[in-house]
Amino acid sequence: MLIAAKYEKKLGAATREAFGRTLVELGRENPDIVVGDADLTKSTMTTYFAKEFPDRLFECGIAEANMVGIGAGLALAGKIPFVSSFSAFVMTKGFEQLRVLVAYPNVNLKVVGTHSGISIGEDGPSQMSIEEIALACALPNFVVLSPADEVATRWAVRWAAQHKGPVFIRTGRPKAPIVYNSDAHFEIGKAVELVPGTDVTIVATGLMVAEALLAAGQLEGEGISARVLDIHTIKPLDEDALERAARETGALVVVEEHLVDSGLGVRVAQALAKRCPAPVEFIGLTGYAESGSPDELLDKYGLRAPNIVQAARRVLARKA
Amino acid sequence: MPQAWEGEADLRISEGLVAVLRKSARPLMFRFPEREFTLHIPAHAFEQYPVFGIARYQAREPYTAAEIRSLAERGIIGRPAKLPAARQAAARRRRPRPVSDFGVSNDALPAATLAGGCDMLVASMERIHDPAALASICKQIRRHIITMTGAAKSGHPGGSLSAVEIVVTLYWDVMRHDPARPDWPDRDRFILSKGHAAPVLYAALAECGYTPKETLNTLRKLGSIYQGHPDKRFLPALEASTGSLGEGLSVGIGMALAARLDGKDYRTYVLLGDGEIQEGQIWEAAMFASFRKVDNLCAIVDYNKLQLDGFVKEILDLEPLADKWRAFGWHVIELDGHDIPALQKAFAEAASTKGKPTVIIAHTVKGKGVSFMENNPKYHGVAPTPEEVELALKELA
Repeated sequence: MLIAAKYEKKLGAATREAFGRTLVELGRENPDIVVGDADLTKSTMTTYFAKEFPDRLFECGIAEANMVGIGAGLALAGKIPFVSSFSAFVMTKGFEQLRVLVAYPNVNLKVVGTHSGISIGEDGPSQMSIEEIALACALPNFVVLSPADEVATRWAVRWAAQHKGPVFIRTGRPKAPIVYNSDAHFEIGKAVELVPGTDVTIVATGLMVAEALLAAGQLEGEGISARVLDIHTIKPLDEDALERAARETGALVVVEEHLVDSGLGVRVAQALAKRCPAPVEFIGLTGYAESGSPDELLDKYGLRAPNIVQAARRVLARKA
Repeated sequence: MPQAWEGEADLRISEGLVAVLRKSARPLMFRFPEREFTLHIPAHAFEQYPVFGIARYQAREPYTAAEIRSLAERGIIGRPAKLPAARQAAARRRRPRPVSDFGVSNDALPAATLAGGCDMLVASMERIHDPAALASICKQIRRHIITMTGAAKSGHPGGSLSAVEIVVTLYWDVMRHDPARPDWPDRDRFILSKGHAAPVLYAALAECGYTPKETLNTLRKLGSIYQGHPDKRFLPALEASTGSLGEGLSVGIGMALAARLDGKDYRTYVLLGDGEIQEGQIWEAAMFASFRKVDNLCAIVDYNKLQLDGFVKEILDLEPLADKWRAFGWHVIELDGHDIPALQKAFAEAASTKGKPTVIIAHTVKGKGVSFMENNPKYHGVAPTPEEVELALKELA
């Protein structure tokens, strides 16, 4: 399962595509799986489910708050509903409903946000979700998953379906670089150590995991041994793995396609402050982006392997 | 031509069933599909004699009481019994009378098939149709609301008092539910979307037997099952946790859709406040429910004309309200929300309206039943003082 030290970036399916395909499999296995969508089935890829199970796909129109409410009602009546839209819409326009109808009474609703981060590209900031890790993590009872590639997404969606309680899954629009072999094994709340290392740890989630692997390869060329952790479960966070990383490597870089002040980084910092304080560098967004191709945007906003390498050098310099 | 016949029949049942009846204090129902009749054994039917009692029946044919007895006993205990001599003459005098509707089967669902091809049915809480009897329950509920909010020294008495007839008619007459089994999958659902009216719901649940009456006065106190707004974590018999306005109708739609997917015939009722429907989500839900023909859903607007800041028509007017719901594709019934027979009729009309959801716009009086609270904006969110409690209880005696 572990990737060779020299990671080669090869594109696989988009994580939203993996979500849509897995949902159909689940639909075949369990008649209680139902889906809500808000006029984006062709983008969130619930369209596959809609084609095979038209009676179990509730097209809610452009009305996310109502969709979340209907999802809560379906869950309370014994169904296993997945509601889906762009992360930017379902988590913001549905937030209050997620808070009162889902999180607080611990209702068995699954929320899947697609088109997360700036890598959606040309549509621009109104469609880009860079706040929703903060929003999802702010909701008690929610499990927050952020899979890196197709294989991880398939696991995340399947895990969500069998878990009793609310789950948010963050997926993206572009084709995702392949990180895992198809037989990879995941455990909820357990970070995956993709590359062992002793000098510094790169903590990444979602699309940034592939960049972290590339960075680890570059650092190895410079004689720096970088550990790579994939945080597929942002909540609950694997504090044990982070503590081990801090003790064994003494420095960390956190990288996420999210606002740097409210996402994975601050959660990692909190965990380390509790368990084992260590110098950390944070890579993420500091404000809203713009239109452009996904690659151009990731370059311009500093979410690339070279940015991680630089951050690693900075944090190593701070190491006592 | 009458569609059905009903009458009373002597019946002998087993000691075991009598024990079940006594223990549950709940009626037993049996359906005999081949003979097309249903049998309803009231909880008190066997109080006088050990195993002989009187059951009510409804049938498609004008069976005599003796025929019913013979068929029923064969079905329930396997063989017909000989009636004691003292009861034979009375049994002969009983004749079925024609009725217009064969309504019993709607009350229940098959549970177990017994010896003679009959189904033992799980019965709902016994229904009360008599408006006078319902009105006296309303009075009791109002007394609870006053004492609860008085004891809590906070809460929302006004919007609880306005909804009493609606809630009582639903829980005692209209809805299929059983306090002994709050998780009964086929129960009708009630969602208090205007969650701040929790006292009226708590009083009803307690009077039905879901929760203890003695602790109603712990309303809003630390650890109480009677939380400030309905909280399913503390009171699992609630259908949903509510309190943030505008959200219950969507939840009701979800439950109604689940019923449809599961082929179940339970109905979902959502009680909305008038101020509450200023929320945009209500209209998202309204659009959805009519477009998807969610006709197993009934919304009730407790139109008491007042919200926290004052009169609805001065805060953000809802009129023309009936036209709005009609324009959104709903079947609309407007009535006096304190008129129990009108409510009974409206809920029946809602149940028989197919192809669209029904909204009952219930014109009510905020603070209804307590003279100094009626139409007084102050009592939206202010509890009565001990002196006011005393005064109010006198009026509600």
